[in-house]
Amino acid sequence: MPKPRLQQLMSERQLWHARGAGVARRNTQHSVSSGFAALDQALHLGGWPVHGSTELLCSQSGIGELELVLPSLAERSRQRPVLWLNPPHLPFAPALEQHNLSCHQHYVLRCTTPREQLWAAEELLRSGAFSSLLSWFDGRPLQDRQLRRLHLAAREGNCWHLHFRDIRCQPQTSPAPLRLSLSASSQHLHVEVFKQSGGHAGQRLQLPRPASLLWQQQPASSWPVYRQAPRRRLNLVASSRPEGALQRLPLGLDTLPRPGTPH
Amino acid sequence: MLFLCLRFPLLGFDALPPNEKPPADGPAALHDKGRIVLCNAQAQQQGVEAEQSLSTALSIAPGLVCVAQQAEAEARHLHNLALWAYRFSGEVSLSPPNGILLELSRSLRLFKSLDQLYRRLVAAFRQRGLVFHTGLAHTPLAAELLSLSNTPVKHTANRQGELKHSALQQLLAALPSHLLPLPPRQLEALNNMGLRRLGDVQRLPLAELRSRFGKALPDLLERMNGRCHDPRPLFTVAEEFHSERQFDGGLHSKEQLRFPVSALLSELESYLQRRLLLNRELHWQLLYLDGNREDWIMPLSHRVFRRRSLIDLVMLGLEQRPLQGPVEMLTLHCKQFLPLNQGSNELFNDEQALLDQQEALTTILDKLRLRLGDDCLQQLHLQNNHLPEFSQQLRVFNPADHSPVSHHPAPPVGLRPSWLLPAPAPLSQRDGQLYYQGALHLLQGPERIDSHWWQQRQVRDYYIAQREDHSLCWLFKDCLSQRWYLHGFFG
Repeated sequence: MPKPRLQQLMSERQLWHARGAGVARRNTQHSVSSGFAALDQALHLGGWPVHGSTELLCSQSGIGELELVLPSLAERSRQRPVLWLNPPHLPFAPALEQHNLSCHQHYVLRCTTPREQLWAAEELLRSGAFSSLLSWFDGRPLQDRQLRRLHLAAREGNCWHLHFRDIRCQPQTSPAPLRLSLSASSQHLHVEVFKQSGGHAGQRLQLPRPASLLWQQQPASSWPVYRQAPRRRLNLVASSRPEGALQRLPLGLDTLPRPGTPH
Repeated sequence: MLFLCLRFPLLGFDALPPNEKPPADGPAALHDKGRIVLCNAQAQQQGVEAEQSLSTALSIAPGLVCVAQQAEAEARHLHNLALWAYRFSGEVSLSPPNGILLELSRSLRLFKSLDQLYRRLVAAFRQRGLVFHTGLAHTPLAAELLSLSNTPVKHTANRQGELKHSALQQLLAALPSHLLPLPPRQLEALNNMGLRRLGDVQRLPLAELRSRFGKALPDLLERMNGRCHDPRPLFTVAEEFHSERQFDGGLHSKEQLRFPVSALLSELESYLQRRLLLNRELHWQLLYLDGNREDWIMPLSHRVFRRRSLIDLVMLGLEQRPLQGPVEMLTLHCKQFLPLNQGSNELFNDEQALLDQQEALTTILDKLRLRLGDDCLQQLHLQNNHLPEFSQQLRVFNPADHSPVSHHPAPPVGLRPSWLLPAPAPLSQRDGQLYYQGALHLLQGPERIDSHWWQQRQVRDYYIAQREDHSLCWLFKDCLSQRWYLHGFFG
């Protein structure tokens, strides 16, 4: 009699139902588009969450960790400002402007001790004055209790808490509903969603870095040169105009080979 | 019309500074120019009376503690009381030396009934430990006279605030005639004529009284009965706010200060409401038992006075400051004010949300300033400059500065990293290879920035490079010193 048993199992609360549990919750009320179609597809909410903690685990700067969140921050910072709490370096205003973020909506707060930083983070998240808070905590990894307080404060203040942590924190459990680990290859940013609410986790994506950054210039030795410049003719040119010969060299960047071509 | 007179018989003692206060459980008196002015119940039991000479009083009651009267402090205290009473009525006038007059007929609707109003009034005075006498009548003078003999309110009016006229007349008639505010000679004359009660005086024809006592007495009677207008100068609010709380024996912990802080802030709140102003700072002064003073000025950036959040803010600030000893007196002083922007409710939610958000920002800013220092929160600003380290500026955020985007330079054309190092980090070079925590491979460049020739010339060639761990870096070669530096990351 398999059927009654199945019914019995279904009615028990201990069993998790994939169908009802919110894969269907993909709507714009609970999420903000990340600006990357592949990432939106991989997240069950259909984008970054509106509030609460999101952990990004990466161990170095410069792998595209900000590029991942800047489109969403541009969307959010229209209403309420963004706060950077103890960033490892300075956020660079001209670059933010290039990403369509208006820089006067960005605030930087520096705390000296971890205790003060925790206090400030919780107050800022709860205040409801900021749309997002980007935080970096140095020193010892935060306890589960502290992380939970930050997450709850973020939900209360309707604030997106983007928590940048070291990759070594990955095995530690965390109350944050969305956790991603970031790593880099030469052309891509690798994202692994190893925890998310509303369905299964474990999605792996490769997001390409902007082509303009990776555009590789050929070494000068392989540049095309006007090889058949006859010596005789050079001698014919008046000696007062030596730069005439220089002008033929391909100095402008638009004559360089396009990206992607092997060198 | 309904006038309530509140009289504070022990005002002289209440107004004394804490270190001069006589002990509450022994006989005590105030003196002025060798005469007793005021004495407490214990002293009265021993036979001390007002107008006695100091030496007589001391010979009657050897344990008597005599303190000089401080008229100025009394006036200030009375002023504070009037300020406080302002919340119950729009028409408050002082009745020196120790009384306040409130016109209540227009406040009855607000407080539903006289009973409710009176209960709130009494509760507030009990909380502050003040002794007060009352008198309720249809004219200011009658109320003053009734308060001199401490007539309970319920004797002259019912719960809804309607006067019982016959009872009122009886009570007035029963008052001793020496309570009338007349020169001593005329009071003496009344007494000699056997007119001991006010009723005896009222029974006489006015014309007779006028011929015997002059204009003053009939005028008084007319004003008392309401047949003649009796205008009183209305109490007006002072230009600066000042209030204080005194603690007998001193407070030892910060948590104990919470209630006085809350009470002072609520006084300030009603003061600000009355003048339609907003304060820019709180000037606290702590007076310790050993006589030391400590000043503490708390700048504020709020747009609406919210007492509850301010209490938390003050307590947060107190946490950072060590108390030097038991606190005897806490003073709050405010003299810088701004006109209050009258908040109007917005029709559309967006505007309201914006206002709420600004409010939240100023609240959190006040908190951060208190705990982390004044210049902790910085805002990014774009600058018109070619050198990357000068093309942005971190300015201390100041909400009062209303011109954040007055001039907006255009961002540069070239590729810029999202992380900038606070100072360029020198790179090491081995065998023609650059290293910064790993080998660096140049991808593209250079972008030449040549600037500041008028100051100290900077010629830099900026390159984008990839490190071994695949992170993208922003390097430059200083063309004048031929050295390489790391200046940012493409995060």
